[in-house]
Amino acid sequence: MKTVFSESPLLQAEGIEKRFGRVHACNDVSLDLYPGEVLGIVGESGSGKTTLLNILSGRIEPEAGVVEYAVREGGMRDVHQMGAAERRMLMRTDWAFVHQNPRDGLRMNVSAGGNVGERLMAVGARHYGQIRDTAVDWLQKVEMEAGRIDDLPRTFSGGMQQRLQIARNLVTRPRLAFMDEPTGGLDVSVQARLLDLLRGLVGDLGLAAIVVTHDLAVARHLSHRLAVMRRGEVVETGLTDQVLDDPQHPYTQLLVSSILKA
Amino acid sequence: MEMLKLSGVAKTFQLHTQGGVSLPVMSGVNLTVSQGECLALTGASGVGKSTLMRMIYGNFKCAEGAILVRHGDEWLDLASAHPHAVLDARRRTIGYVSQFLRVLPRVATLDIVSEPARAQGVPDDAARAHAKDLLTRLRIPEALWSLSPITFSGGEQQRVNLARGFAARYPILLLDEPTASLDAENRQTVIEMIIEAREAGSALVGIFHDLEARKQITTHDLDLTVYAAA
Repeated sequence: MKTVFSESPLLQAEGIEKRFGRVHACNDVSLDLYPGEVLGIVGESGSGKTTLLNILSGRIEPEAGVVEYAVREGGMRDVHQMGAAERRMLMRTDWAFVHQNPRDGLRMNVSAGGNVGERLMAVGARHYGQIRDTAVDWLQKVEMEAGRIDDLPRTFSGGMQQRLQIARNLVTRPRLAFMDEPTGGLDVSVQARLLDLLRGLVGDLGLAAIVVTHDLAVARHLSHRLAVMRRGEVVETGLTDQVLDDPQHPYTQLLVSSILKA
Repeated sequence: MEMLKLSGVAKTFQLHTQGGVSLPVMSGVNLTVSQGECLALTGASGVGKSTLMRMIYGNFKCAEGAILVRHGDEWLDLASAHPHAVLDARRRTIGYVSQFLRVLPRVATLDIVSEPARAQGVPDDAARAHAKDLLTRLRIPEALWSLSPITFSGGEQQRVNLARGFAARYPILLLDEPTASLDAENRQTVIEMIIEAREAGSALVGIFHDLEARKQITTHDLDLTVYAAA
């Protein structure tokens, strides 16, 4: 895993607030992420981690607080103040979003190759042969048979759909990936394979990622740093193995001690 | 040259899930390790030997005192360092051979062993060649190199762990019972490897219940009993 980080962050969030009725989903959350770094956000369901991910990625507006992103051209840009067109361009080029349910991130009535190629065409690729070659290359990167390129995603298993979603997202070589429970809903054997694949891709591409998961093993193997969320608040942050092996906050201790050992 | 300096290091575990019990382990620990030295941490089980090793690696939090490591040309206090600095120290400066191998399924033994050297910028070919030498020296059959060590025996896993620890040349190396669960032949090999590292100038800290190994390897020892918290 990469362990050298630059001085300036890629993404920075300050004082994020969000309520849904009486539920305080994000309560004064601040965090930062550096190029090439993987930040895990852990906590039980309902702790606000998916809401936070959606706010960080510009998908929903916070009630207060600022999310800034270091654009390629240089300088920090407020994700929620930029225009719709600029944000859409970011989502197509610099960013990836991997949903827990691959159906939310794939076009189910378009072939596997089409799903990957579509992202390329969105950033201006026009040469059919090259698009198809790149799609084949990416299917192989995520360990899918090139022969399945013309098949529809619904003929794939859940694990294959998830790998296809990852290929579709990473084909444009983004700098930042947002992942919401990327291994959730998959069989344990498939999870290990996906985890290994993700770890390799993140390392090879120098990709930064924010990974929301309730699975502490996933967090341990993928992330450099962890943020632990409870009832909308980040209660503990730190080096991943330190947070998991020597948790300080009562809630983190409860979370870590509640895992059943196989 | 001094490589590692601890001053006033204390550790207390707060067990919030078990009635808020406060468990003081040690306080006021001072120690210094220089190049070419091997310090043995001694004392009865429970005195905090492994805890202190984990604190020196940044795996356990150090809330009181300073843990200074010579990182490149400067001293870095791991007790207060940013996680990024701790990761960088682990890449370049401090290695840790724990008692247990923790790896992802599906990753080949050779990749696991060569990874620390690659992380230090050693080219892939050279890192793999060195990893093969280490695995050969530690008698891991070549047929196993392309497999994940998850299904290996305890002794084999321990040797993979040791090979990984010696794959990169760390100025500071922490060894938690490096000869436990090894047969006589492998035990002797490991003792030789540790002595070579020490003579090459690494600063070593270890826990050795194996008294004969301790005598051969270490240059001085520190009984943690004197720092036991009341």
